[in-house]
This record gives sequence, C-alpha cells and structure tokens, in this order.
Amino acid sequence: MTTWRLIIHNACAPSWNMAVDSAILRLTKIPTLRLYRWSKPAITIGYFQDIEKEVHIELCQKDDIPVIRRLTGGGAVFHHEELTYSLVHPLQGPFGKSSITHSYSLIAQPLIHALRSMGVDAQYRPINDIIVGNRKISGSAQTRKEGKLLQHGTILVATDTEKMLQYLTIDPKKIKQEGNPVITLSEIVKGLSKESIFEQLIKAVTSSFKELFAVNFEEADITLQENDMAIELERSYFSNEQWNCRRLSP
Amino acid sequence: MSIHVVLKNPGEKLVHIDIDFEKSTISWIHISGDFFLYPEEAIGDIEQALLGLPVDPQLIEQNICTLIKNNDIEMVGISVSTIVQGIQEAFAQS
Repeated sequence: MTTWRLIIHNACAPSWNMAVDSAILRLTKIPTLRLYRWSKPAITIGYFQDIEKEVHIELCQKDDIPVIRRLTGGGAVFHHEELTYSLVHPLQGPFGKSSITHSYSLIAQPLIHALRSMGVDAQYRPINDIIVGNRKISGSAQTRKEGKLLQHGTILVATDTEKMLQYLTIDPKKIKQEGNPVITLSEIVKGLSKESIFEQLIKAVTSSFKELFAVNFEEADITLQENDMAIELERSYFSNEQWNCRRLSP
Repeated sequence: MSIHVVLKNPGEKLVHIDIDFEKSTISWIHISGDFFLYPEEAIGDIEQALLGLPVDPQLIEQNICTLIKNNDIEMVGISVSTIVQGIQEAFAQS
C-alpha cells in the first residue's frame, strides 16, 4: 500500500490556491491530495480561454471578484462555498498508461463514491464532469508536466449559483430554456448545516480515495520549498494581470 | 477586422476561432475555448504553423497533423477537423 500526502487547507486567497497547486506540481515527489476552500468568491478561467469572452469583467471589478487564469484547460469556474481538490501524482501506477481522458474517469471514481456515500446519485459525464440528474456538481481540469499530472476540480457545496450566472457570460436565454446547469450539495443533502456538509465531504473524499486507490494518507502541510515556490508563482503568475488577462507560456 | 467563429461539435468543448485573412491566406489566428491540449503551450505552435497558409482544408489539416505527430500533442475536447471547419466558416464570412 502506497502512502500519499494529504493536505487540508481552510479558506485561502484565490491566487494563493492556484499558486500552491502549481508549486506542488513542480516540486513534489510523492502523490499529494490537497483539499481546500476559498477565502472569497473568485473566478478561474481555463488556460485557453479569453477572459473577455468568458467573464463580465467590469462587474467582477466592481464586486471585487478576482479572475485568475489556471494552469489547466477547461472552462470558467465561479468559486464560492465549494470544496476544491487537487491531486498531483507521478505518471506511474494507475496513471502510468492511462490516457488523459481515461485518467479523468479514474479520478472521478472516488469523488462519485464520496458523493454517493452522502446519498447523492452522482454520475460521471465525460470528459471531465460529475453530474446529478443532468446538472453539474463537480468539474475538473488536468495538466501534465515533468512526468506528473495535476488534476484539480470543484465539488459545489453551497455556491450561490444565481451570483455565478451574473459574472459568467452564460446566455441567460439558455438558462431560461434549459434550467440551472449546476446543482449544489446543500440542495440535495437536507438537515445538515453548510459546515457539517463540508466536514462530511472531506471525510468522504479522503476515505473514498483510500479505498478505491488502496492508499494510506499522511496528513501534512506544504513544505518550505513549496511555500517559497508558491510565493514566487503567485507573484509572477496568479496575481499578475499579464498572466491572468493574456495567455502566456506557463 | 478579425472574424470570430464559435463551434460546438458533438463530444467536444466550445472552440472560438478569431482569424484574419490577407489575399486568401491566414494572416492571424487565435484559438481559444474550454478545451484541453497537452502540452498547453503547443497551442501557440499550432497557431504559428497556420500563418501564411491558403484556406485549403487538406493543407491546413496536414500541417496541424504533422505538428501533432512530431510534438506528441494530445487534444481533448477539440479536434483538427473542428479547427479546419472554423477556418473555412470564417473564410466564407470574409
């Protein structure tokens, strides 16, 4: 049985969250699962997206919603009252011969298992989503660098989806016709406070990874080197307007 | 003035193509969207490889496929045929 590092971070600043994931990807030699929350609402956009096509920038500026470009592809995400996971794993073991598309489905399994253990009828929807009914509860994005993969993704707990739709350039007519495209855990799991849902979800996700990937977790924080690297990456990338507004080489 | 085309083909992600033509050749192109492409920086190489090409679907496809093969590029949620389709649609509007 292999041992993975487990990092549980409470609410951190949006640009710091992205910087820590990137620092772990660059430096770690051991598989690392990080679970974290957000100190304030924020939007991340995919590496290949144009900020002006995805986000109502002026409204975000007015409401102090930072917009951060991720290292990973995928779509724009409004982060608010969600649990985010990031997994950094060498391209070995279960991910050694796995195509990118297949690895999305592999990593979705413990997340689905965790949600089902909380009574949520979650299903995998290729390429990178987990849905309940036809509404998305979790989306993920992956990059591969230096022989490792980084996959991070959200599990919506109590996200204000009305607010989300204000900031993202989703056609309101489409929402009217097709309904709300996302669903949160607090809409499904009744009788629990938001904080209790977070607590249960963290337990369910860690035990599902343990069970499905047959691993032990050693709880730790980021190393000093990762911390220093994250400070540098936050400064030069994730809190830097040049990176966030224009696609540059990572 | 560049032309903007949005494509959403079955099983793929949303792909935006912003493009300029000069004398029936591609003079500028920017491909964006919520797709995945590995390694990420290869998107710039693909855009670069298309500059100066005439709007000949076979030639465009061949150029991108050669680049993909030589550089181990993997596309997820976007395809060569979608890029070719987008360029053709934009050219028809030009």
